[in-house]
Amino acid sequence: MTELDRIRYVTQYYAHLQGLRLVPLGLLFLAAAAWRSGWLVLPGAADRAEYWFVGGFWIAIGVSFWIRARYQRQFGHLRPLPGRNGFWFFMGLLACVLGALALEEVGRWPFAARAPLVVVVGCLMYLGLAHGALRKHYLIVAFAVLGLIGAQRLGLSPDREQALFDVVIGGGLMIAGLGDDRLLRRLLQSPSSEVYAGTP
Amino acid sequence: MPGPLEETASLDRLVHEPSRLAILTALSACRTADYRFLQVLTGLSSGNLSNHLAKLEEGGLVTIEKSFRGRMRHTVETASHREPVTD
Repeated sequence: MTELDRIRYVTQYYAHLQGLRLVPLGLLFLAAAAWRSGWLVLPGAADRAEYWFVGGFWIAIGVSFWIRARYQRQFGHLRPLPGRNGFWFFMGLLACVLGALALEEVGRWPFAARAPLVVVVGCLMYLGLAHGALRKHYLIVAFAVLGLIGAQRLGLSPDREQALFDVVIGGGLMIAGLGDDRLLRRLLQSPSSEVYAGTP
Repeated sequence: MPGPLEETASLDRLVHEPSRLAILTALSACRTADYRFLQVLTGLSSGNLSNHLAKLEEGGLVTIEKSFRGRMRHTVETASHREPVTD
């Protein structure tokens, strides 16, 4: 990657690479998996588990905004180009998931695996392979989701399957988040002093 | 009045200098960027970055806005890329 490619890439995808923002949500899913497996005891969670999850979800969202503010203090702030803030990517993904669900509904879905999971795997593969596989950690997440699809065919009990689902979602968010943060820090490392030396 | 070739030559010198090319590349990939981001991205010192931004502003290639943010009343410079006007 040339110096100008580095600058262009990190500027275009600065918001996407603020990966630590995903970590609180990842921890929430891992905690949910631990609770389902009996390794984590939450008072009153036996009949009010959804309150714990919804409360944890909003806390994770709040912490995510706090982490964004920290990124801006540390690395600065920018406004992305129109259409580059991830909104259209998310809308495209949503449209694909809904389209796949519609195909599944009318019985024209060609795969044995559930439609949303196949779309998510495709999306993760794209993220992992695009731009010279800079974000190759997404491939690990894609293979984890493929593993989940395979495990669903083993006939696990619903509780175990749900716990496994939470582990894959939580672990995937952690891998994606930590990988993106590492990539951002690597790409934002100041170039060696010779690059811009002697330039009045 | 400078001829068209002289005008191009001075524009090239303004843009081809590595630090300024780096700044312009960053600003062409976003709507606006603040001073802190450009400094982290290029590794330039504050004085150097200010000088380069001032030259690019003089050349009509970037717009710089200064604003106050928060209670600390510190100045935030935001630069954005401006397409050179051509006939």
